[in-house]
This record gives sequence, C-alpha cells and structure tokens, in this order.
Amino acid sequence: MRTGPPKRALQFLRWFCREDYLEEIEGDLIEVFEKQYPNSPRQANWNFFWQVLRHFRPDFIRSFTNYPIMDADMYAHYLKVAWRSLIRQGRYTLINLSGLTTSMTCFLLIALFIQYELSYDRQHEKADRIYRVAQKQQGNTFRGTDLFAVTPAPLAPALRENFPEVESAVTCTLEEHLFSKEGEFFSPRLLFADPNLFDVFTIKMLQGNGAKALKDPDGILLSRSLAEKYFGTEEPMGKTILMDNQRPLIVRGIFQDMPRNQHFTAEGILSIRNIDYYEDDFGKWASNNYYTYLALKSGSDYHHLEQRMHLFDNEIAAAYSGLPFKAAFFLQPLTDIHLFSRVNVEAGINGDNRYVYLLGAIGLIILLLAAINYMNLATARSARRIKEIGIRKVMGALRSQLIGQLLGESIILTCLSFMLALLLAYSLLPNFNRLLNQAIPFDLVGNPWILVSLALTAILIGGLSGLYPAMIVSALSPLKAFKGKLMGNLRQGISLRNVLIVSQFTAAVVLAVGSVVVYQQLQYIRNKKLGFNKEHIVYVPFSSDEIAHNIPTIRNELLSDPKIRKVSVSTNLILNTGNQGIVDAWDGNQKERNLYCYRYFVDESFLDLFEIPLVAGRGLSTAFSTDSTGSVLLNESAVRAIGWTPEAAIGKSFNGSHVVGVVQDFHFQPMDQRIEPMCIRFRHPNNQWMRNGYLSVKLEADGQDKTLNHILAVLKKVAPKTPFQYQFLDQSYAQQYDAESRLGRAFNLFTFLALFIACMGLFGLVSYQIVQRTRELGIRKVLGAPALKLVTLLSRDFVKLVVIALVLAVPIAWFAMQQWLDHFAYRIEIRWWVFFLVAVPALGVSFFTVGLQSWLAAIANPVESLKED
Amino acid sequence: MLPPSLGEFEEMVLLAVAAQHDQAYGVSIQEALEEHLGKSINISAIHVALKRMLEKGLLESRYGGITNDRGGRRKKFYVITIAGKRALDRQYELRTSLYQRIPKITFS
Repeated sequence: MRTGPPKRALQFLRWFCREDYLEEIEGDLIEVFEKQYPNSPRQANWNFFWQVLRHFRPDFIRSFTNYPIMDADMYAHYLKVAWRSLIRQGRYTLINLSGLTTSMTCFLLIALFIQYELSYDRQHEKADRIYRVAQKQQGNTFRGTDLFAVTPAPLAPALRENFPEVESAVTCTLEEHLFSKEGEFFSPRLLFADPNLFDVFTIKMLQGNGAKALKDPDGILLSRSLAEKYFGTEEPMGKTILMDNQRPLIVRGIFQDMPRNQHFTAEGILSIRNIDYYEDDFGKWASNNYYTYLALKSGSDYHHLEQRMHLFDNEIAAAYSGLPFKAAFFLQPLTDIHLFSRVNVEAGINGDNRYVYLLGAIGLIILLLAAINYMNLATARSARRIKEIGIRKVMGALRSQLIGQLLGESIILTCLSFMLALLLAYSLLPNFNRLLNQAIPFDLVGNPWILVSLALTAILIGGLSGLYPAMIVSALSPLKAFKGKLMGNLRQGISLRNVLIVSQFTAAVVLAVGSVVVYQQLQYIRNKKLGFNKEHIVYVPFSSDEIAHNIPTIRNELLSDPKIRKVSVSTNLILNTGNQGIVDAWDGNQKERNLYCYRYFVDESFLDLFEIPLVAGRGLSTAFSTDSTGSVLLNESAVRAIGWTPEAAIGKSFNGSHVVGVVQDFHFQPMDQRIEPMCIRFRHPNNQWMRNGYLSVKLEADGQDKTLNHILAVLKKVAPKTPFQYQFLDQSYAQQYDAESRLGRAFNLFTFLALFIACMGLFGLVSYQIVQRTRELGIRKVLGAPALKLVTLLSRDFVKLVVIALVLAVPIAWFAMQQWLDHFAYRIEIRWWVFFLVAVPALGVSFFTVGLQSWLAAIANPVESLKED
Repeated sequence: MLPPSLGEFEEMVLLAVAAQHDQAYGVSIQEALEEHLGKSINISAIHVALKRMLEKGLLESRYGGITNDRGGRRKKFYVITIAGKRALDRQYELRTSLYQRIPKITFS
C-alpha cells in the first residue's frame, strides 16, 4: 500500500512555502519520504515533519503581503473607492467627520483632565505607600464634617517608635510668611517640617542637602523660582534672608519647584522649630496643629496599622477629658487625598471625584452620540452602494472581504478625525485650562498609554460603528442588491435606527436639563438673600500688632474720607468663619446639653456695616461698659437650638455672659451648609486687641479707585512694614462658588456640543431619506398633494422620535438633578417649566432641521425628480 | 565586479551539480554528497545552497517531466553555468596554488 506523507506537515509546507519553490521542495521531500518509508514508516514520518520544519526559514517563506487575492492593487482600489464615496457624498462625510472630530476632541480634553486629576501626588517615589494621618472627632461637626486633616505633634514620633512597619513619619505644617526685597513683598507658602520630610516625600534638591538643612532651625530651603525671584542671578546658597522682617534665615539649599499636581505645594521649606507654638505643643496630644504623613514599608497593609493605632487611646482620652468628643486616627492614602478627601483643614484646595466622574460620563456620552450618528448614517447611506456591493459579490468577493472593506472605510474615517481631534485638542487646551482654571499639560507623549488607549478607542469606535452597516450590507444576496430591494432587509435597520435616535436625543436632553438646573442653582446661590449686604465692601486681612493697636486711629483717618461710610474690625471674615466652640452652660442647662457654636469677635460697627438686622434686643456698643466682658449676641439658629424665642432670650445667661440681642440668621458659611448657631462677642477697640482679623470698609458706589488708594495710604502710614491686599467682598463671595460655576460652564459647553451632534445626526438622516423618496414626492406632487402635506409626511416620523426621547429624558434628568441638588443645604426645586424650557428649543431645532429640508424637497419641481429614467 | 563568493558547502553542492551534468536535482545531490562525505546531509541545507547559487548566477534550473514518483511532483534539475564553472576553477586554482607553496616537509 502506498501511503502519502503526513498531511499536516504537507499543509504547513504549502501554507508557508514560496510558490516557485514549492513543487521542487515538496517533490524532494516526498522522494526522500518514499525511499525511507518501506524501511521504517515511523521514522519516515518523523523525518518528513523535521524536514518541513527545517525548510521553515526566510529563504523559502513566501511574502505574506502579496496575498494573491488581496494584493496591493486591491488595497489601492479600496482606498480609491472609499475616497470616491466620501467625496461623492460630501455632505454626509462632512456631518460624520465634524461630528466625530468634535466628539473626539471633547473626549480627548476630558481624558486629559481626568488623567491630570488622577496624577496628583504620584511623582513621589513612595507615593503608593505614603499615608496622611487624619482624625475623626465624632460629634464635633465643623462645616459639615467631623473629619480633620490635622493631628497632634507627638503623633509622628510615636508612630515611628511603636510600629516597625512605619518606615518614616513626618510632622509638618504650612504657613504663609512675608519676605521683602527692596520694597517688593512676597508672601510664599512655606512648609515647616522635621528632617524626616525627605524620607517620606521625594523633593528634588538642586543644591544642598535637604534633610541636613532641616536639622538646623536657622536654615531654609527655597524653591528655584522663589530663589530667582529673591536673588535674581546671584548665587543664593549661604545668603541670609529675613522672614517677616525679623527672623534671619540662611539659604541652605534649592529644590526644584513643586509640580502643581500635588495636594499641597510650598515655595520654601524650613525647620518646624520655627513655628512659635511648636515648643508648647511638644508632647501634647490635643495639639491638633500639624499634618502627619508616614511612609509604610513596602508590603504592609495600612488597614492593619489603622486598627493598631488604638494604642494611643489613653493619651487621647487624657487630652480630651472634659470634652464631649474623642479623636480616633485613620489613614488616607496619599494618592486619594486630592480627589476623595473631604475633611476640615485641608492643606490645599482639593479636587472632587464626583466632577471627574461627571465629566468622564459626559465625554463618553458625547463619543457615543457621534458613534451612533455614524452608524445611522452609514447604514442609511449603504443603500447607495448596494449596486457596488452586488457587483463585488458577483465578481466573487467574499463576505469577509466586503466587511473588511466597509469596516476599513469607517476606521479610516475615525482615524482621520482622531488626528484632527488631536490637533484641535492641542490648540484648544489653553482655553480649556482657562475655563476650568487648571494647568493641564498636553501630556500625550510623556504618557504613552493614554495616547495608545485613545487611539484604540478611536479605532474601536470606528470598528463598532462601522460593523453594523457592514454586516447588514454584506449579507445581502446579489440578486436583491441589483433589484435595489434593501427595504425588506432594512426594516430591522430602521427600527434600530429609531432606537438609536431616541437614545441620542434622550442623552442630549438630559444633559440640557442638567445644565439649566445647574445654572439656576448657581444663580440662586449667587442671589440668595445672605442676611447681610455684601455690596461695596472692601476688606483687608491683617495679622499685625501695629494694626491691632492702632485701630481707633485707622478708623478715624479712614472716616475722614467722605467716600467711606463705615469701618469695622472682626476676627473672622463674614463669608467664612473658622472658629467654633462648645457651649454647655446657659439658663436652664448645666452641662446636660452641648451646643456647637461658631464665634465671632467684632466691634460696635459690625452689625451696622453689614446691615444685619436685629430681631430682638440691642447691638453691642462701647456705650455699655459691660459689653466688653459680659454681653453676647446670638443668632436665630442658636436661639432656636436652645429652645428660646428671640424675645425670651434677652437677658438670659449664656456661657457666663448675658444675651443682649438676637440677630437675624445670615449665611456665614458656603451655601452647601446650613446656617448654624453662632454667638457674637464684643472686643473693645481700645484695649481688647485682635492681632489677626479683618478690616472691613463700606464704600460709596462711586469713585472707589481713589478711596482704595486712601485706605492703603492710611494703612501704610500706620504699619509701614506690612504689605496689605484688599479684596472686594462680593468678588470673594463669587469665588467660593468658582469651581461650581466653572463646572457649570464646562457642562454648558459640552451640552451644547451634544445637542449639536444629535441634531446633525437627525439632519443627515432626514436629508438621506428625502433623497430616497424624491421620486415618491414627485409623483405625489403631480397627483396634487400640497407642499405642506408633504412636509408633514416627511417630518412626522422624526418628530415623533424626538417626542419619545423627551418623554424618556424627563424622569432621568429629574432623578439625576435631584441627586445633585441634594448636597446643597439651600437649593432650588426643579420646576416643571424647566423641562419645557429645554423641550421647546429641542423640538424647535429638530423640527427646523427636518422641516427645512422637507420643505425644500416639497417645493421642488416634480419634473426634476421624475425626469431621471 | 567581484566574483561571487562561494562557501565551502556551496562549493561541494556546486561540484556535485557539475559532476551529475544535467541530471542533478535535490535528492540526487544529497545522495552524492552523503556518499562522498560519508555523513548525512540535510536536504533543506542543499535547497538553501541551491537557491543562493541560483541567485548568484552560478546555476541554472529547469523542470523535468511529470512522473509517477514523488507524488507526481516534477523534479527541478540544475545545470552549472559558465560563471559557476569559472568560480569552481578559481577556487581550484586558489587551493592548488596555495597547496603548492607548502614546503616539502615530511611529517614523520
């Protein structure tokens, strides 16, 4: 019996071998095989395999690019056909390309933003094992949370001592201090830290040894830009600079400027022993004045450490004896602080993970909208190419080839718009940064993964949106294709298209409702009655004995200007209080109940200047000698919390003082906080000085420039060495909602784009359908249909879809916006007319889109449409 | 132009082709070389050598007729070209001239 050589090996040989060598090699191998076979079939088989493998080498492997049926000409042909169809259907191409490009640009910008937000604090070598110790003081709710970022001074040494897995721990704090040079003032943020700082964080030293410098309380490390600002081109090392005009410090090192994407930054670093109260705080477990960061040894679990930190419970209990709350420490991973930490006394302004999620979702929605557009248009459009497909099929094109061709076209288009989007994103990034007040770098090269993943997304979008039309069209039988009978097959396509259009419009409308509600809420906050008048008020923060001791002089000098109406001094800015205490003694209560009460220290013009009305009693004044020691004002919330009425409160004792008046509630905290109990105490300007505080000045509405100069001149005369900065109260108020209003603007922008893309999709589909039905319209017209009827006929279906989308969008938007509004203590209710506000323009625009084109088609001369074949 | 270089194995294959004038093909070359050298030779090596010398222009090839052997595959016969012959001559001369320079030494 004659047996052939092993089939598998032969197949393999035929697959890889060059055509022109194949016969010879195959022949030779078979000859050898046949010679060996009679002696030893097994060995012959093995030998054959082996020989085939030995031939698998570059000399014999065919060129796989020159695949016989898919050679370069075929690709060139595909490209040509793709190009022609793109050009011939220019309008659709434009719709697709602009839609895809717009959405990808948005997506890119948002991706860059998210990447930047996620990049915070990651530049430290030990970033993944650095933790900040924070504490929960259960019951001590301050500004909406009982979590605090600050910790006592003895914590870091105790951590180092007691837990072997703590590699290092540092105590530090941030303060702004004053430096001056030739009449120029800088007030940089300074980091006060112990020498362990450099074992925890990675701070790149350009000159000098950081850890060594921090051991010496007289040394300071400067950032490069601060050193340049201060010393110019001079060599800074070893020079002396004066902090606050009194403390000499020797420059011991220069470090590279800290990147902006850190949850705190500083321009100078010096020893923590320069903090005045540090020595007092040493060893005291109630001295919550410091940040504590620790680096764990790699491989240790921070939850485990967290549990064992109860070790300090005794010290804490001792420190907090007599207080109605207790502290418990917990750890925050360094890289989570920027986005997830919402605690009091943060070291800097943090981001918000919710905004990151929200923008990310919007980016995805926009991308999806454009992909849906593409899918819809491509399916609809493919009817035009049905004959081409039919001919290809008759010529023997495989289905896989057709799919490949159509898919390739859409991937080419998406790649093209991806390139355009890259360019656009690059040129728009500065504007985007300004909009969000960020410093996002165009960091695609530094981070290859983001570019790669974005490019993959682009290809995926192209693939997914091209896949469906490609499948539909390539599945047609050529016979049907020639008959132009796409309809039977496309009915399914139409219903899917409808679903897509509905979902597209739903998304756009939800976004639109969202942006209207956000706008309304922000307006509401901005215009809500604050309970005080914030207009035409300038305030100057000060922290200087010179000012504190000379308040009466300053007041008199200021009031000599007729444009200045009132002057007042208080310990806190009225917008944002920082001082809270516990009161447990008032008439009818002896330590049974606690009242957390915010405290203000003011002078006699405070209520007058801010126009805060009294509900009962009188204001504080120098006219009453007891006011500086034994009088207190409460706000309505405090009175309510105790259970008094404003009238009944007068004369009652409160925390050792007598209530002389009750003021109307006013907002002294951001609008997402309720108005809480507060008490106002009096400081006599002549003998009860406030070293730190705010000087508020009420101006006339006109001629403010001159008045401002007058204020600065007066202050300069009294305290020549201290620099002052004035700010307008209403501007500072608006700044509190800056992040929200910036977000609102970004939201509006993206919403507008989403609507735009959705409308373009509608536009494309309608115009396509009109082209399809030109002949039908012509015949209808000839038979006497009026133009208006034709318009109705054409637009009815589309408008119906938009209406369905609106109906779907309402509950979704309502629910989503309720969620958002819930985190404001003072919020608007969503009114029914908001939906109309969105629905009417949405309907209008879509009706216009559909109607205009239908109208153009309806008034066209039927001869034009009917004269073809 | 420099004459094409000739490796040792290539030279052996070329010699075998020349010796089996007009009747040399893969398997016959393998057999001849195995017989002369007394060791087994891999046919893929021969194929590589043949292709390379074909490219260098030292060989020409033609297909034989279809037979019942070899599963019906045609043989590919190789013939040495003038350039191939020259290359062999040059190699031979080079070796003899070098060989002749060996002083008459007896190895005892």
